[in-house]
Amino acid sequence: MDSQNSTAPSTDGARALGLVHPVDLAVTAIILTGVAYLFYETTQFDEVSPLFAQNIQPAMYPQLLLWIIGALACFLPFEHILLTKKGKNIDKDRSESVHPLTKLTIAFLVVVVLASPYLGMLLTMITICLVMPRLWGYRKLITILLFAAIFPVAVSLVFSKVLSVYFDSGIFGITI
Amino acid sequence: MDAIVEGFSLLLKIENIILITLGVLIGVLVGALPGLSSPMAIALLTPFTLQLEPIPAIAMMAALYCAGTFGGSITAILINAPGAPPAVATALDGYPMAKRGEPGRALGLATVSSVTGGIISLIVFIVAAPTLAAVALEFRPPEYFALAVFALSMLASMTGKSSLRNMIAGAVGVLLATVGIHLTTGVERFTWDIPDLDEGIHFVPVLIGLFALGELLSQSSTLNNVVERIEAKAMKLPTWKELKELRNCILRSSGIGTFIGILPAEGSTVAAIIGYNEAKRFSNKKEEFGTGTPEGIVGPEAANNAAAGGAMVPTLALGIPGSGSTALILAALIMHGFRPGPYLLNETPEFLYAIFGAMLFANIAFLAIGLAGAKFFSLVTFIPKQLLWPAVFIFAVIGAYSSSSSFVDVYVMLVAGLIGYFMNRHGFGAAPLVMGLILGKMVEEAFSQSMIIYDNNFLALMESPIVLFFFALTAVNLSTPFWTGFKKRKAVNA
Repeated sequence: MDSQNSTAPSTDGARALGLVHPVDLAVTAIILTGVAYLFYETTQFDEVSPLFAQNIQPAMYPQLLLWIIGALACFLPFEHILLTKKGKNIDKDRSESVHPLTKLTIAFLVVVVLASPYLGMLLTMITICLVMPRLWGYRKLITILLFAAIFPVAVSLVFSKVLSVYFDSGIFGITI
Repeated sequence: MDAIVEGFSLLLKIENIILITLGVLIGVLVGALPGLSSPMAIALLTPFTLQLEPIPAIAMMAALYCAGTFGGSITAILINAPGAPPAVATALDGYPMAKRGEPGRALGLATVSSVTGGIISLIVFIVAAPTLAAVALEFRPPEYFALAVFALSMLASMTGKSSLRNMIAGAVGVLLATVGIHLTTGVERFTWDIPDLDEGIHFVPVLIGLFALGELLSQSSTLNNVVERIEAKAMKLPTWKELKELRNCILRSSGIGTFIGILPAEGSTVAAIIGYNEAKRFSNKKEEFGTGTPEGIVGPEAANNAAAGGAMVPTLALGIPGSGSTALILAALIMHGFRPGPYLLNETPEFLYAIFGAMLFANIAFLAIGLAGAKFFSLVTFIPKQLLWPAVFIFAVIGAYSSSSSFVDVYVMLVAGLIGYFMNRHGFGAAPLVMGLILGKMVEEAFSQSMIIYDNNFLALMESPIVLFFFALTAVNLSTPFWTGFKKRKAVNA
């Protein structure tokens, strides 16, 4: 879905794409699937007596919003026609597939966040300071080591001692 | 008078002065660092301010907001990369002036026009906010509902890739606000038996995820971008003669910025672009725009800082955010236990004067900071992204965690960040979603109460002229993107 080719902001671009923008069609499908699921969820909400609800059942307002979102989403696949005529390029930021480094970063963020309850806050911070700069191609090892040694400790001291934020020590029990 | 004295006396406490100065420093710093922005800094700061007294906490955020708008101009001028979106137009003439060897002059022009724009808008703020609040005291639920719908419709004209996507993001934000126990009936909605969701979506992790983590992921694909940096040794203030020549441009842009700031959802970026265009339109030297003309710097800078003060008017007087940053300030107000709107200003007027004082202090402080620290702030742009963004991520994790000492909030932040990144890729902005989230409760409450008042007859809402007025504005607003497009096409075809 993200490998959509770049579209120049011209009427030619709109013509090349045709009436329906394929990426936005997929986006619309995702939104409508979400809307359908959430609409189903609203049908599972408890109903209350009309007297108590005063004509406003708990599901009414979310359902109204879901109708609006669904209706607006239906215009998305055709929006590129109007935008192209206005000289806007909706595909500018998604013309290339997600950068490999972004994918790696996402994987790292997920791993480190999931591991954080076990590592504790201080070790989580040290891990971030050690791994992320290397992951992003920073080569000065001494700087990274100094950064990983000083920054998390300084942050821990400020937040735990000055702002009284409780830092979980994790399974290793390491904290300041 | 008592309220003025009380408001200002709150600010004169040494710890509050330190907090506001800290807010200004953080604001200028995040504004100056490309990728970091005041909404992100406010989102990161929010959990920590919850441990402070409400007034200094909000004053600190307001100071950060003002300073962040100014800070963006530093990188716009020195590296041609606006540190914050409102500085996008400043780069058009600021960078060429810096490149031809006058970075200090460009920074001086930006600072003086920012301070002037900021102070003018604050004068409007202190007069308009209580007046607007007094008018809004007459509003009943139907009027509030119509006002909130109008504010949401303004998302259509908010800066972003498309009006349609802004509106969808706003509607999703409103929908997110329905998560939790329904206030009228006590029925659980979208909680999936997760107790943490009973009270609704926690603002802090969502805000941090959308603004900080989403941007972090975007930055990861731009690490190899090489930028040419110009070092500024000192700021050079404009001469009186120069100021006299630029006076009209600064005043006009300040007026434009303040007005645009007051409009719900319209923020500093729109103000800056219009400020730049108007400066060019009124200039005798149109051909010099883009080559480093002073008017091209003071026009957008006066406008974007004026919009910051203007945006506080609907935020505090009506509880309707004037911009993305003020939506976050509004969220912080709610988390501090306030109900933003006219009652807040009428019951605690000292609050208004404290915010006014903090923003005034911020405007004067960044003049001093700019003069004393131009060299330092030009150097912060040299901090490698590979060290800066891990630090931001750490603050994001701590911020999300500390709001309720729960790792669940860190997971929520991560999910919000991932969603924010992909939303942004496909043109759905984080700011409209947050505005929808903030306004959501108000919309539903006002809607439900209106339906109860009018016995479920929606058309009966139109009996109120104020409701009609706001609905008419909403209709005009929603149709604008279509008829301007139609007019443009007609002009091209002709």
